[in-house]
Amino acid sequence: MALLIDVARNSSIRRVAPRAFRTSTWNLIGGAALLLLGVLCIVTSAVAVDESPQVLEQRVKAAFLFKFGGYVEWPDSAFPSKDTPLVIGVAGADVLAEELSQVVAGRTMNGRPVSVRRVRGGEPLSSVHVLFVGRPEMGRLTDLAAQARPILTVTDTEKGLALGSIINFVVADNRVRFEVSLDAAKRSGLRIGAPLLSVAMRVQE
Amino acid sequence: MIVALSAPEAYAAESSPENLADLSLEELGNIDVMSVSKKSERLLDAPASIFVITAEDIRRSGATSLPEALRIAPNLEVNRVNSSSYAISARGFNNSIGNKLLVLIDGRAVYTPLFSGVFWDTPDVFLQDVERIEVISGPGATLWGTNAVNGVINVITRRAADTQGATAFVGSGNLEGGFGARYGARLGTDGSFRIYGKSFDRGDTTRENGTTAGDSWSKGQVGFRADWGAAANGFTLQGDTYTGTLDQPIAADTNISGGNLLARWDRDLPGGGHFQLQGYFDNTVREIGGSIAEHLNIADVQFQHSLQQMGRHAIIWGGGYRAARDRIDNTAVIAFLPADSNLDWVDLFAQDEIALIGDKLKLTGGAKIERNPYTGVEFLPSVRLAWKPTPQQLVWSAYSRALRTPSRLDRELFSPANPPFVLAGGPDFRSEVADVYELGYKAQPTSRISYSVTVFHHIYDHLRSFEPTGTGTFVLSNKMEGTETGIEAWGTVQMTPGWRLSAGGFMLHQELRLKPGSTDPTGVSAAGNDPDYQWILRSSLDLPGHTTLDVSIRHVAELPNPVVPAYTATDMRLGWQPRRDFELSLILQNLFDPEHPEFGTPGTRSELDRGVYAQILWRF
Repeated sequence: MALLIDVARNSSIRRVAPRAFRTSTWNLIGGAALLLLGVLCIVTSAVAVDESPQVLEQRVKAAFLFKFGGYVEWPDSAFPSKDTPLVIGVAGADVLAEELSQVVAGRTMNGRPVSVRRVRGGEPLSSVHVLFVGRPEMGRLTDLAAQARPILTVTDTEKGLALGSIINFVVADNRVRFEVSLDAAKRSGLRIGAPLLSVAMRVQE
Repeated sequence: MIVALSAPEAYAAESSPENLADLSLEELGNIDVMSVSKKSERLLDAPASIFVITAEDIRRSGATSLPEALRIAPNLEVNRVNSSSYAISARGFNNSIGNKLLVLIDGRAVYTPLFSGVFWDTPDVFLQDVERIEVISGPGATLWGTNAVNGVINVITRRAADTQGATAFVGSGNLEGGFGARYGARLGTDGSFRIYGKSFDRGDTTRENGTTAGDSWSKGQVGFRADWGAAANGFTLQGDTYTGTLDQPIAADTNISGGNLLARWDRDLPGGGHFQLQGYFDNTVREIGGSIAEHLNIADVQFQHSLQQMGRHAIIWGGGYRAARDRIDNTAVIAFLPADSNLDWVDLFAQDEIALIGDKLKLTGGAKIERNPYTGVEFLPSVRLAWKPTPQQLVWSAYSRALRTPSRLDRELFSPANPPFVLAGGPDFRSEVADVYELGYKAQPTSRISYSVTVFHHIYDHLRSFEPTGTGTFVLSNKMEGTETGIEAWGTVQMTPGWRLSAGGFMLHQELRLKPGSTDPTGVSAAGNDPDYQWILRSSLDLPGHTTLDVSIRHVAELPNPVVPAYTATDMRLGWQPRRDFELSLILQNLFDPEHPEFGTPGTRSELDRGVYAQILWRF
């Protein structure tokens, strides 16, 4: 019983040796470790680069973008040959594009190679299968929806579905979830698989 | 400083882009990306010395108990006293009856008003369900109140929705063995729950003089958690109950048992505010063989209201009420007088975070007013300044005034139970006071590197001393004072996607002295026994074939009084996870050291042996 032992220790009369800094091999090693840490701090500060503070969120969205491809059926015309790559376009979201490139590196989807393409304003969208539209590029959505091309459009703003995207990311309860518009999918000639719908936070008919 | 914190950089390590693509849609949707939450700060943004132990850290450390998991935090002193007892503190004053650290499990304070400290054989959780442990060194008094003098430990378990399905483990080794299981499922349309049970046996330790300490023990615990709605807008109900038996070398066994039930309601208010109301009931029984027994019931209610942002101001205020009914069965030698004590505490706090220059410069001022049954109303102010020159750097400084208000031990401990007394309580014992100055720097220059450095200076007054009255009687008084200066630092480097190195440690210089007029014969030694420095190095490596290898090397310098020699402990864990639902791990503790003591008096103190432990874990 520690409590009683300590109380008992209190009542025993002892003199206390003055406390001094002790030197030993370990002292040196400990000091060296802290010094190393300090040097690391200085060196890394010097090469500091700005990174998005929300890397993990972008990373999870990137993983979703890749995985969506496995649950969507495109019209045959979207894949002229058996080894036509699945192309994921990213417009107006460079951090996401960067993360996505790492996610898909060396991976295939249903036997097809996967490639990531950064889409700049005005670039043609032929052969793109999945397109993430970042906030700066939201204007493109209405055009895309009007053209009814077989592209799985994905956004991450509150008004995403209203503006015509098929899937929209929502961050709720610190988690990345998504909502799906079946109507928009139908207009683009895409079929969304049941497993994807069952995980969706909300499905708009 | 806000209560909820997160560790995105720690997640970044386990959630590398390569690995994320292997998860299912459902699993992706369950990853906490708290960094984006409005109410929780990124670790880097918190102007305090905070180390976060993640679930992954705990799993890969091979820790089988809460105190062992706390060894991961470089800003904590964790000394195992014997089979069941630990001395744990931050920034010095370590003692098996240490009293300057506040420990919370899901918002429930687990210290006893008997001595304002923690009996470390009691608090326990299903370790696999812990989301993270926040270890804050330095005072957190404005938000958490008295007793958060030198640090706060916040154990946070996962929400029930994140612990669905079944998990079971069984482990065995030369020092201990245990098993446990948890099952989680949905509850109605927007709820979920989990239940768990666990049990363990820990063996005797051997004393330095070769005799057995006769301190083996065993404990069983069951519990549950249910959540409805979301974290920001929902309701949580959770509880645990446990019973344990601790052998003693001569006297009869010590029995511990207890249970608790906690309810918490969170609500996002229209317009941007947030409200939280929490209440719990906690019962603990400790019957020490051949000595006193304690029956303690605590009821606690707190609320916290974050107002919607008003221009530059983000205001949080709240309050709480805590009542304890403590009943002691005294013995002839040791007695708490009166034996039965009804205690209550009331507190009210407010904090304003002022954005002086956007997100770049923030000033946080706050204060807590707390009424305790012994010294009445006490005032605990703090002020913090945080400067973010870039999004990846933070410079912060703080001044806080923290108090440790009297516990029953300080005022009501008598020996023997009847006059004439040798020890006659502490009739005039007042609150211990700490004025704390801190300066810190944190940075995350790339997603692969993060570190934190804090220097601190504490000025203590009215520390507990042991004073003769001149008539052969002693009383507890407040005639010790002193200062403490130190540095704590830690950092992590993700060398490759599968290899992480971490280092951390602290240096501490204490100067305590008795005040003029004190005739305390024990000197300042009773205040604690701390090393001048300690450091820890950890390597987490992913190997081919679904294998992981973790090594940690921990060095603790000599403790001065009583002398405990410096030691270096190397722990290793080899994990093999051939499938997602099965994991085998082998844990080696004190690999290069047959035994060493960590705390206590030479000769009779326990030594910790080299340990070998194997565990199998299944998920269904």
